[in-house]
Amino acid sequence: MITILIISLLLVAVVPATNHSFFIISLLTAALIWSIQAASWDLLAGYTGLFNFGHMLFAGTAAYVVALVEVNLKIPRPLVILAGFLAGILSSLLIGLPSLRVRSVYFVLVSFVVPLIMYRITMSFTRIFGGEYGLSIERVYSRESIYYVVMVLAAFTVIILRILVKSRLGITLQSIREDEETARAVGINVPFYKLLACAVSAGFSSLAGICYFYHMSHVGPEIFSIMSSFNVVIMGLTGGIGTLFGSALGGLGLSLLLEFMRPISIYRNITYAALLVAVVMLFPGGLWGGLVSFWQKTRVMGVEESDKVRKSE
Amino acid sequence: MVESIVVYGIVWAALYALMALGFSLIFSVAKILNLAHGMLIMVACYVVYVLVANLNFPLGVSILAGVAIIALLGILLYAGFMKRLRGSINRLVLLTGGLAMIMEQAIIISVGPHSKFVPSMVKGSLSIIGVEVSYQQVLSTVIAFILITLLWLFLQRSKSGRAIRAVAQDRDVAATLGINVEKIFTITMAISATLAAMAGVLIAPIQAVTPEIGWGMMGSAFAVTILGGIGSVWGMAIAGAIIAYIELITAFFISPVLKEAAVFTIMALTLIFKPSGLFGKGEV
Amino acid sequence: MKKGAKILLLGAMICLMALAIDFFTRSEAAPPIKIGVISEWDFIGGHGTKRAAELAIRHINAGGGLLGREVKGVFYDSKADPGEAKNATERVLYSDKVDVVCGYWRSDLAIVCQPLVMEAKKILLLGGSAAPLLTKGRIKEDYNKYKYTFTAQPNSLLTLHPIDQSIISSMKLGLGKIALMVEKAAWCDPIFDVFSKKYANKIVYSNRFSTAATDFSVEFSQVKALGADILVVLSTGRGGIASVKQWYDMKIPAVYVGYPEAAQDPNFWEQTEGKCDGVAVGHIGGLLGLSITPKSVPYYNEYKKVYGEYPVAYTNASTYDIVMAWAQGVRSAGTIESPAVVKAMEKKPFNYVGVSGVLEYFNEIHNPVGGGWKEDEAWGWVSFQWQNGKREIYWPETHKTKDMIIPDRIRKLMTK
Repeated sequence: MITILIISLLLVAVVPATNHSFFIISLLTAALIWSIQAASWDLLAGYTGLFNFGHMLFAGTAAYVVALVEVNLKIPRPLVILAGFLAGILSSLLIGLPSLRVRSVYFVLVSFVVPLIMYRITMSFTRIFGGEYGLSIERVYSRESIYYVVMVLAAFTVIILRILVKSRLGITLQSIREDEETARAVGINVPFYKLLACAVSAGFSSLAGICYFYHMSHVGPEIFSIMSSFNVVIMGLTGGIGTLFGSALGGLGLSLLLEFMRPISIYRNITYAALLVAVVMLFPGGLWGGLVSFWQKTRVMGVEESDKVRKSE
Repeated sequence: MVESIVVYGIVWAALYALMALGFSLIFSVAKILNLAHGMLIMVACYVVYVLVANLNFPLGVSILAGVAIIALLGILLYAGFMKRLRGSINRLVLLTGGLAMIMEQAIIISVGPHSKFVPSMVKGSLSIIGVEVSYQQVLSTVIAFILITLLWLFLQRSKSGRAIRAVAQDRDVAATLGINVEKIFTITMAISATLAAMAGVLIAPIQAVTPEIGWGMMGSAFAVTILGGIGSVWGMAIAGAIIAYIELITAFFISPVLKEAAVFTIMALTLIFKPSGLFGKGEV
Repeated sequence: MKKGAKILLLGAMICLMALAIDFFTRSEAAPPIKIGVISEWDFIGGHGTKRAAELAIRHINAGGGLLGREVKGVFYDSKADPGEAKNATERVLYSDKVDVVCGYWRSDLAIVCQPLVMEAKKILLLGGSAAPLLTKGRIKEDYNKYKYTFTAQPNSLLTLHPIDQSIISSMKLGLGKIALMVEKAAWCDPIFDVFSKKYANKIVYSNRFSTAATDFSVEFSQVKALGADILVVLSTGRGGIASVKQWYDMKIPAVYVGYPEAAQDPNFWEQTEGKCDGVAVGHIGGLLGLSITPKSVPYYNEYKKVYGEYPVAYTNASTYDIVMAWAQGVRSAGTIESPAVVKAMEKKPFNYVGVSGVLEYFNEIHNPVGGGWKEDEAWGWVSFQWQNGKREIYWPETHKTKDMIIPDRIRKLMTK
């Protein structure tokens, strides 16, 4: 998409514009990683109807696998990354399988709990996972190279996901979201598609998680914490659930906004929470949805646009 | 050693049940998954602390005031926020989660994040079948059981209690019977918050009080509710006992570190195999 | 294309925000000397780091500043999260352009951020994090990269000594059956290993408990049943107050020693309603209101005047000392340039008189030594016991106020 390309160019331009400021580059790298998490979360939440409160399970698993290999073995890097990627996708079963058996509200609870189990495991088995110290390595890639990789990955994620949701697969997922019983009755193999959606979501999340590890040169149990996955939900929701791009921008924008708020950082978390409450109560379609409906008030509505506005659950 | 497990199990069974009752009540009646329930318990602890430590109120008065304030807070949260989203369960979860975070942050900003302590109501301890139990623990347990019984009696015998049960069973039918459903929701929320506050003041002297214990309490309330199922007060009590004993047994026979994991596993298994809980009467 | 234009606008706004952050936070390398202080404001340890740094900066400026320049602190909250800490660190380094970085009480944050500061070749003054990797590991393995790191807080392998003292002193009183309860955390893994080996034939009960645990009824029942008379607890988590209360309530016939961090608090006696009588823990001597050096008591009292309460966490001393020691190094070097300051701080003798003790010199892994504490000891740390509402130091000999005792209540329980 042209717009993504233009944004990418702008992001690239930031590098020389700030004179290669490590601070800004690192900040944007982290923000882009969050945007990938938010967008991949949206696939499950907005399009498949699975409100995943444990999204960081995928990224965390991938990051830890990569970390464990990097710290303990000497294997060529492409293989290490592949291992992490596959591990992350495999971890999607931990959330995918329960989703087949329980109704949506309880899915929320189960997805909430699974990463917490991983949190306890990584905190407790200190000799393998480093406990609260986590796993660290010496820096492998330069800040700029990670920045460019993450930028490309983010664009890639949004583009591929958009193609997916517009395809037959996407329509199938949305029909599952709308009415699971009917979908089943019509002959759709619901379990398969749910697991597939989880796997795809996990795939992108894992790649972002691996980038996160090389960006920080470290991974710790906090990646599995409640706040970590909650962040993803807030970003995706605030950005615009069911819009992919909106979620991605939600991730990016919120990360930057929080850094902006550093001078009043005591009030940061509470503002975050208040923002969540406000969005949930006032903007069902997220800020993106709000923006879309605002734009519509000044234009003639197309059928496609009004569909987007109704995408609130 | 087994005696310790038996005795402490009773203490925590009562406390867990109390924590969970308020939460499951509002869920069964109004279908609201109140993630802020744990935080209400926590805020109750802090209100008592502030009244006692900063304003020098006597302990008894502070406790009563604390309960009243939290009950009011519960009603406000319901009327101001939860009422409007009663239709969509997912969004309610997010809303109450957000409210919980706001409460936690408000306490951190105002009182501070460090551990505070609430004084015991009674001092000293006694020995039960060879196990040392503090009077405070005994008091908390007894009061918790009394409250559970009172709640059960209220729901079974009193007119409002029966109305509440009717609404929980089937909202529309209850409405046609002339019950003011909206009023029932508000009353239930008040009861729920009061139970939370009572749980808070009973638990606070026994353990550390920090803003984040709200999440731990929420987890315990969840676990008991899921295991016990909705719709039965004594089901909750039994579920509380099961959870308490599983924790103690895991800690003693396997490893204390796996206490939480054991509870999580129980929760997951229940959700997968018997989503309506052991004693659940409602639809899930 | 209208929708596209809207997206474009949003995207441009985001990029502009990034540039704005950079522009507005950037600053010229102006006359004041800047210290970036990054710590965990919501935690007692990180909170102490912040306050101690504030006091140190205040004292430096009261003494005329450094090299004729005022010293300014740039304080950021690390929010106890490595990602945040990294942001904050890079912000102070590349946006605020500080001259030196101080902070990190949480070791995992220090592990992540130390390389960042080293990369920028700025001096890092550790504000309390004690992971051996930070100094013992990294400085030894790669001196050229990590030589800019200094600390006044001995690494956690060394703080084993005051903890060990509590066991040794208990044994001197005639006790000999140890129950070892160590929280499940990376910092005390090596200590657990050392104790398990050293006291192998005296340990009757050994247990690693969760840092989130607040109920120890099961563990204490087992301790009681196995007849232990020395209960060694290492806990920095929430279990501190609760475990002491439960130890008292359950009438455990054993002394409570080790490192229950909560017991360092001057208000611990009130918090436990007196139940902590006899509890022994390690702490920095200078924070007990006792005259370890001429600076200790004035600092203790001034802290109370400025902040309304006495200092609690050890970071209140270690951070203050490392910043002041650095200031001394800068004066001695005559310049703010890192390599020169490093050399100045490595000089033997260095002789900085701190709150915790006299820092005769920094050893080869840039840990403090001197003032009665030898090379392989925990500089500044003493062992004290709560007796009748007061904190009495029983080790080391040079600063002892009272011997360690077995309180009457416990003695009675033991003879039953």
